[in-house]
Amino acid sequence: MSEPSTSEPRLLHRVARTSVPDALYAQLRDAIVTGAYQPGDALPTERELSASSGANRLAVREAMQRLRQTGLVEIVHGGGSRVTDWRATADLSVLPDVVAAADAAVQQELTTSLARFRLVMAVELGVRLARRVAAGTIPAADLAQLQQLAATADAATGAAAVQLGDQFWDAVYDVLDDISYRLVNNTIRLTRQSASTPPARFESGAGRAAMVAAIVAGDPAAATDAVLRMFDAVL
Amino acid sequence: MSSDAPTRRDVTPVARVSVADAVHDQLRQAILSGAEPAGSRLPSERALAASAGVNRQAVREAVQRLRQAGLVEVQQGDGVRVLDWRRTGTIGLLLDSAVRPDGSLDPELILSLLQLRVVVLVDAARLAARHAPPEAIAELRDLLREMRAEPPDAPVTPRFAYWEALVRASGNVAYRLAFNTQFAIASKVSTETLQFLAAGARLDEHYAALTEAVAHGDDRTAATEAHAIVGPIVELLEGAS
Repeated sequence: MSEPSTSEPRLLHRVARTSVPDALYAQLRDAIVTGAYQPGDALPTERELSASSGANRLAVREAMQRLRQTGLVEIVHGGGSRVTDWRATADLSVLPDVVAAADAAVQQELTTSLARFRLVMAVELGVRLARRVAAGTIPAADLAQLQQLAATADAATGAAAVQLGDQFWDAVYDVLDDISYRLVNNTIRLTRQSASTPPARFESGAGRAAMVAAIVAGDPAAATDAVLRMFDAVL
Repeated sequence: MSSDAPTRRDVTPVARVSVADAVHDQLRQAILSGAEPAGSRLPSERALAASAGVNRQAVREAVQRLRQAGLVEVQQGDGVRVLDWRRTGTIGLLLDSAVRPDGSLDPELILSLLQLRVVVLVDAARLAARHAPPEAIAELRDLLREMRAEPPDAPVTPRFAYWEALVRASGNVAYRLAFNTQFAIASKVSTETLQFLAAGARLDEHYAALTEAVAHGDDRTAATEAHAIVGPIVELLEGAS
């Protein structure tokens, strides 16, 4: 949808199938993430944006609101909007938007850092689940389901592997039932889906079955080893 | 103060919420409770505005916030569809839910957040030891010096400035964003609660050891020292639950 950015951001010269506010939001977002606007820069006023894009003031306001909620701009005294340094102030939910707009270098930076985040979360959840098995607090049916999903995902290739990998991790996070982990996992999945070319680093290698086996055995150390081996291929 | 004047306990703080926020909160509650189940469509903007007695702009803003949190999706011309928050909910959901309007915390959510904080900050310490440039090390040493210059009876704080610098030094942007999330939540929490959560953070010797470990590239010690600072509150809360 977005045209390649030049040094001068061009606004809404083509109305796509998406709504006008969404299209305007996307173009401003792209301009910010690719550096056409720098942190601290003032964005054009609503009136200026409306005039240059042809969108009405309400649509412009909605686009600006979305940029604020995403964490890419902030309101300053006097009512204008200024571009933020999103790495310094935005929260995790900015990621899918940034990845959609980012150039290859920023995508690399993001996916590498996220792969590491996934790794440490996976180590922690492997340990926690193994301990819970040792304490007898995980239903056998849950473990059986994880074993089955792990085996299926490990055996799959291509596009199916991505889908089945997602299903596996979603099931693991369901069993863990920890809200922060769940929401971060959702954000990471959304981020991968937003990337223009799904990066290999979002896959964990085969080895899910080994991880589940260690959990089922109630062995936290073995679970950690299995997770590290699984992510070794992608880090 | 006369004996029949209201004391601090008699009147709870009244949060000033915008109209859009109030609509958002109601809709969010309806979705999370299942009253508006996943897959269903919310009433139209006009209908919502009419029943809530607010203007459509407020409804639109509320829907935007729900979209940002991953609770709904907006389909052109087809209304607003409720999603399964367990699959689509983003961290924005936590920002809204963790702290109640009166500044108190949802206990289950806070334990979850603090556990994730340990994982992030311990690994950030490890990475900082491996990657921190000289300027970052100098910054951490400056912050440590400031800590040591505090009077002994100064109130305990979670030391956000120090951890922010450490996370930045790690070079991991996802950790920076995770830290920003934690900071945003902490900003809504009352001072007393923050001090309670920071209990044990006044361990200057661990901050000093952490700083030196980072300076000398000793990632193992850095991780251990970071854990010594942020781990205890989690152990305390886990033991209590």
